[in-house]
Amino acid sequence: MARTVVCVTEAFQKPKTLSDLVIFSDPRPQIPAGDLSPYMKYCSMYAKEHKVWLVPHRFVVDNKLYLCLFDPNGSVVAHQGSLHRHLSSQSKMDTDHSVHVIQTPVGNLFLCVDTDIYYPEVLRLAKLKGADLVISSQYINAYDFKPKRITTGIWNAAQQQGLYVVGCSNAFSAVAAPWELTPDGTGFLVQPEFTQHLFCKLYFNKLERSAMGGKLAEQLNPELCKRYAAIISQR
Amino acid sequence: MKQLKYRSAAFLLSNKLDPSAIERVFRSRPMKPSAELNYVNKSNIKLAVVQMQLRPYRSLSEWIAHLQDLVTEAQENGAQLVSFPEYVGLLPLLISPTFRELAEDFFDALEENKVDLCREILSFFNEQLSELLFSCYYNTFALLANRSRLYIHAGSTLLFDHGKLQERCFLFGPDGEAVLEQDKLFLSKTEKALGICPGSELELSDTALGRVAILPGADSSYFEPAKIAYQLGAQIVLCPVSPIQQDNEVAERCGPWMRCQEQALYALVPRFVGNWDHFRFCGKAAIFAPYEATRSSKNGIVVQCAQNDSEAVLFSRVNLDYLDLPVDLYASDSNPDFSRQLAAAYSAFPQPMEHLEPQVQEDE
Repeated sequence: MARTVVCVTEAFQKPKTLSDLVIFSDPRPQIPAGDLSPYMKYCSMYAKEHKVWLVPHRFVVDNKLYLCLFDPNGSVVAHQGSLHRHLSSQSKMDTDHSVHVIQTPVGNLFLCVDTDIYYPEVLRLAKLKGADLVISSQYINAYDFKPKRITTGIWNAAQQQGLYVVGCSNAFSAVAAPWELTPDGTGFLVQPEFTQHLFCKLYFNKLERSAMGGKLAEQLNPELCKRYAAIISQR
Repeated sequence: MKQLKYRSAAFLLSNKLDPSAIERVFRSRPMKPSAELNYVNKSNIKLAVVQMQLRPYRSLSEWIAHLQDLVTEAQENGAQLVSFPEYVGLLPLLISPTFRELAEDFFDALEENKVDLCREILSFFNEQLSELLFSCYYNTFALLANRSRLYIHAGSTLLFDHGKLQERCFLFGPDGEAVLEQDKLFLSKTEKALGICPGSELELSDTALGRVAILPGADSSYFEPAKIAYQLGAQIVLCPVSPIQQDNEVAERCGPWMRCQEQALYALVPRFVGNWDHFRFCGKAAIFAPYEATRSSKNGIVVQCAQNDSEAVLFSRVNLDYLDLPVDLYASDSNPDFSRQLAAAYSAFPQPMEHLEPQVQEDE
């Protein structure tokens, strides 16, 4: 796996030619429960028809917010529940317990659900588990949308962990990468814009060139991390 | 290496950097004590960071005079704490033309990736210069703090201590006592190859200005040290970041600026600027804060030098009450199960754990 072509598009629109991985962009907070079954069925057909890996929109099952991954045969091969909640939904929603990184031909993927992108600890564990591509799908209230939501979210994740982050939300779509790998040095391969369409080629071998690329565990201070493991992990 | 030449130069330097010589310089060039620490209001803390021009010094008194001028400028602007750049403690070495040459050789070897030569030079440093240089560094900054009656963050220096080469930072209180000592925690590949050892503890100091931590060099490029500092109660972090040769604001934002956004801290970032041999050091000194604490600009920058090539002392008042940020609904949840998993991963370092390998999930 040397290169992956990512395409963000509105649900069920034909992806751009050569796309390997498609992410559905949807302005809604999540798929309504009543629509979930047919939605997943259509997603499966879409992945099969276009021969792509597919990350559809967020959905709720058993009070947990999820993202999932379809393979080009139309099967769900992985899912990730949100590990943290927006505080307004804390009383209504449950959380998942662990970080799953999925090895696929389109990269070692971590599906970052909603607000998890604002927790560097989550992304750190994903990186330690070998992730090189993060798909972040989130909902941001219009009155809450400010630069901080991007810089402390997908941008920080890409710089801090040395991996690619495709950000897809109701407010923007963008691709963040370690700043050393972006032609304009901004840390974005595709600048954040209010759009539901995006197309980008990601070269995984380039990640080694960034300061945080490669094996991060070798760069951290083992003794310090052990000594303060409980403090670093707590919120 | 020409051992005899360097040993003679070390002997000559030891006479020049004698503690009594330092005392004499301070006596001949007295400083006016500041009264700024007589009354401290946590909502009006006055901080200064130094953007220090690299220059050749012909004598110890020239180096001390340079430091005194910078502190005096900060003092005149009402500063209560002054922060100096990383490796400021190595500057007295440049008083000796022989060691100036040796330092240039060291940087050339570093650039050409001649690690063995670098290690040989460092080994001589450990043996002949480390103690001498450290004593000069410690005495000078202790006196600087004592005579100015200010908190002085003395950047950092290299020190060979208990058989280990470490980069160590000090914060001196207004009486001249060291109130905080911190070893660099995260090392670059080059630093590791050179045999520098990382620290393993993060210290904090309860100063009159608030709780202070020091995160030198790359320590502020990782979220872990800043998070530990914040969880232990830090309000101000001193970040003497490594001298850089390329000015890139985006790259700079990956360090202390981002730690302020993650952990609600004030960060002071002193810098070296100027040319030395064929190296050009740049980068803008700054004071950073969370977005919400920079009430007028809302960009997380309290103050930053406009130029990256000239000396300056930056000064700003900060309000520690501004660090009590409103709850961010997007980033304030907790998940004990996840925390346990993360703690287990950190506790297992440095052995890679099999369960941390990526895997394909079963169909559900």
